[in-house]
Amino acid sequence: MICIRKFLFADILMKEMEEDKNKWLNKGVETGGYIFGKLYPNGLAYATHVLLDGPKTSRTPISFTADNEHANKIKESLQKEDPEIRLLGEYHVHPWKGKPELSQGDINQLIEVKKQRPWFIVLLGTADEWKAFDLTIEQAPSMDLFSDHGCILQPRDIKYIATKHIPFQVVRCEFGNREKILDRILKAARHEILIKKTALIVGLGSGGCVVTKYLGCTGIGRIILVDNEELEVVNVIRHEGSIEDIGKPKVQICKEIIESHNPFTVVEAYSFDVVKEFRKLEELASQSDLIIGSSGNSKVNNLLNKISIERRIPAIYGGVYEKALGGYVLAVKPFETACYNCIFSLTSKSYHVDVGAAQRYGLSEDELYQQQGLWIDISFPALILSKMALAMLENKKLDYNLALYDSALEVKRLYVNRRDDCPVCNEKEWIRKHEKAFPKKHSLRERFRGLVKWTS
Amino acid sequence: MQWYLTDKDRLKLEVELMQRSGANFQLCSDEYENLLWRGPLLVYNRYHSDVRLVYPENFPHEKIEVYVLDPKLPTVTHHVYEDGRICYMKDEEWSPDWTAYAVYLTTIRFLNDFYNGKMHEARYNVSLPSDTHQSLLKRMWEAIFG
Repeated sequence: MICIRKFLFADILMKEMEEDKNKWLNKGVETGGYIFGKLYPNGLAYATHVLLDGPKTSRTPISFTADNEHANKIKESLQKEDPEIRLLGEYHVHPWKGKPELSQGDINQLIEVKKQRPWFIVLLGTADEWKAFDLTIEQAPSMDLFSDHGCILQPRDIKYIATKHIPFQVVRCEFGNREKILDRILKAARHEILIKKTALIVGLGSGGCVVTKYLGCTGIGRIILVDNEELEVVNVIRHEGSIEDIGKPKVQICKEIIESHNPFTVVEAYSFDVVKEFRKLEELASQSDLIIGSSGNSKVNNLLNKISIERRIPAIYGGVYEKALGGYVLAVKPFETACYNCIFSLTSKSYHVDVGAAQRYGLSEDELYQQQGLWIDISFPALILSKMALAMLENKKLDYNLALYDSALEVKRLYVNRRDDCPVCNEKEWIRKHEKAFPKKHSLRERFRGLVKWTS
Repeated sequence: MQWYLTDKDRLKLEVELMQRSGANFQLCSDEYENLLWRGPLLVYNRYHSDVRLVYPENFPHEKIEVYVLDPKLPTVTHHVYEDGRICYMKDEEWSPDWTAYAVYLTTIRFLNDFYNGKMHEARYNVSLPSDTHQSLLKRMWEAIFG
């Protein structure tokens, strides 16, 4: 079964529907029609045709009945031209002002239609605005809605429990052709694989926004963005967001950047603190084929490493150091290559502040932690990360897993083995190593005897 | 889900290491169901009757928090917070290799540096006010003898 994650409309179709809406609104009756188009494996629906009415269409102030016979004929003729075109949904207009909301009758009808066409959605308009609606499915995590081959799974005992909004984007009709948009990169990447892939990007600062922009321009099917900050004045000098974007969430800025380059990628933006809302992060990561840690924050990366290892999801981490004059990118294939902790646990320090290091870089200690560095220098490792992430998403084999960049434009590619005593990806061995030193072994119950004091 | 419910081997090791250390700390849980080690520490002739090493829900991927209570340390450096928590390490420097036992040892080192003045002179060029010493001594006396 497939579901629609995003609706894409050519502006001329929107104009047609808008004209139909205005025509019947003036008469105080409902109107509507059918929407035909293509549905891609990443859940993007692109509307190619709108059927406004037929000879048997009927309209009243509280109902609209479409001409199904006529619609079927139109669908068949469209499919003769392009077999991929299907009935995506319907649109209808409530002839009053206010926010569009599905009536109970609309919901019941939608449930019935979904038994035949599970992807079917409703674009609902009022005098004020349009909104696309779908129904939330009970007990069906979105990750199960897609198989490796796209829309294969069958609707079984699906229960729809609530309505939900589907984001829709209107583009100029010349941007409505995916093949044309991707024309210059069609032979440079494996699009048949990429369109089915989902990448989670956590951290949209100076490096993360570069990663987002360039990965968004590769044809990846779905990108999930996570960050909890808004663009500030100090960020603008090294961020894709501009002065006009100050105060906007970074996830929103990056979403718009991708959509302005490639509307055929489904972009989901989540603004929350991943440390405080770890469960939400886990849920999003579980829907992904690749986790990208671009925050440069090792607290966040440790949590991403946990998810990556526990759920066996490949991950890639990037960051810079020393005024961004150097950077690293680490690619992780769980239980095959070194994990984040295998490498970065070696850098832990005590509470002592390294004043000496700060002085060596000509900085005060506070300045050292203000993440000084030019965007150019941050972008190099970010681009390396993007390139390695793309290779991982395309299922290409990398013969290195750590790339080190320095400002002399030198990139070192290394293969780092797993630590044989890593507490994250080789926990049993790590514990065994510590246990060797134990004088005697007791059961867990004996170890706790006389020790555990549970407070109320 | 709390880490100790899914990672019993790690829990076993944490307990074993603390037992072996000889620390007079007890394993408890707080109102958020976080596990914590709680016990006294005497460092540099200063006595704290309630020191807590609190495991976060996502341990070992997140840092153990340390509270030095009864008496709390005076907040004369950036490494000591109002609620008694101490900053023995930056969040970014944490790694899952750290055990509660390692944190316990680091806490002793922290307190040692705090009381012998190393921390203040090197970093902030401040020293403990003399009345704080008196106050600490008084509270230590109360803690021991009631």
